[in-house]
Amino acid sequence: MPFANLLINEPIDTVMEDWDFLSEKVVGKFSGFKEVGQQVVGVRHLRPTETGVVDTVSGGQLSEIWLIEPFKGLTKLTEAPKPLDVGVIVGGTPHHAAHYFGYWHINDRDELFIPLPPTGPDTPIDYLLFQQMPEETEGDRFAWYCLECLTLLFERYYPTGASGMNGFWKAERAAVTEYNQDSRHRTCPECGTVNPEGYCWQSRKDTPVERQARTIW
Amino acid sequence: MPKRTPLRDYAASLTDPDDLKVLGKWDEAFDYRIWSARLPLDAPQFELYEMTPEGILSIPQHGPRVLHLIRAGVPHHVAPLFGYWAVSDTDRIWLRAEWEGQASYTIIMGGTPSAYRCDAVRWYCPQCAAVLHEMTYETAQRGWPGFWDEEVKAVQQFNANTTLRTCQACASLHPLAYSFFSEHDGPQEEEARRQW
Repeated sequence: MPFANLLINEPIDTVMEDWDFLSEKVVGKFSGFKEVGQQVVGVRHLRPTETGVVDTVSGGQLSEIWLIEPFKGLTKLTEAPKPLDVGVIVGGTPHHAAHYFGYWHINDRDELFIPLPPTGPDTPIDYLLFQQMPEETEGDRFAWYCLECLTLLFERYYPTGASGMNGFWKAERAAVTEYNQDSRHRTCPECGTVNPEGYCWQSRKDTPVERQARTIW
Repeated sequence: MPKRTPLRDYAASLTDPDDLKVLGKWDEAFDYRIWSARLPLDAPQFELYEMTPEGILSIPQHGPRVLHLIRAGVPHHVAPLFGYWAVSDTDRIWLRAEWEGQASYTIIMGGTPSAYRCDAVRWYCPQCAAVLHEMTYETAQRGWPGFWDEEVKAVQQFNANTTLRTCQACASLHPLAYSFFSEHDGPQEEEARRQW
């Protein structure tokens, strides 16, 4: 290396904070979503069980990812992604993780999810989530579509770009609670289907109704 | 070179032999760009350096996994992947993961689109860190695929001109540069790739 005399010789931890997001000391900061640089980053730890993979933090079980895509309608990704495949959820695409979060999340910006290879036979599978940080006028939507005909039933918007990720989970809880409060929110004006309730990402705080809904969709 | 059709899934898994064809290429996934490569663990590994105001920081690559964010605007060099300091208005996510005797490297470019104007290729004096030469490419205006043609030209121009490689401040001579894509290497660039 011809730059030897310019190299910083101090240990990197003393020079740069959080330089490795997967290090033991740092990874916990990403258990929800954290803004860093131009990204919103999350790390999920999913432990395989007999009934599927379970998030070690939220307690939710992840099985399928559903997408509502232009010209395609409802697509269900039923196969678990392979290690280091990069899944891309294009900005504006409603997506729902069955039994994991009970709403359709719509980000204005693109989102990537990447499963990492396991580090041992009994270790959780780590998933990396990256979202582009929304611009000032952009945000996240929590939406519900009729599961029979995909008519939009209910939607709440959180201005992530202006307000930051710190209020994201509070906004999620408020949207779920409001949606569940009135069965008219869940009743499709087009086909009359009464849809199941919503639920949050964090399963440990489910109400009995939400716990039941989590088993359905 | 990047596909014209944006991807929904960038398939570079460790488990599927069909996915090998994406390795070493940049693909576009709407506002993100993705590149990946694999190296046997017993082969020399990539080394990531960042240029900071205090000097050059080597980002350690040991351990089974590293996830590092190269923030927008930070000059960085990966030996022996590209022989210059890359500077982008957008973040680069650097992921290294070991599995079954291999290290997989993934670079993901993307971030705030409105902030993403330019990419640059830069060379610093190896002795005093003075900027020797730079090529700036207006990515937002001219499009990402065109960057790679300009990158190759910039490397060739730098290598062909000793004046560009000679520091005006301390007279040190910079080693030759090399492109991100080794297919552009001549014998000189191959040698440079072994040096830094």
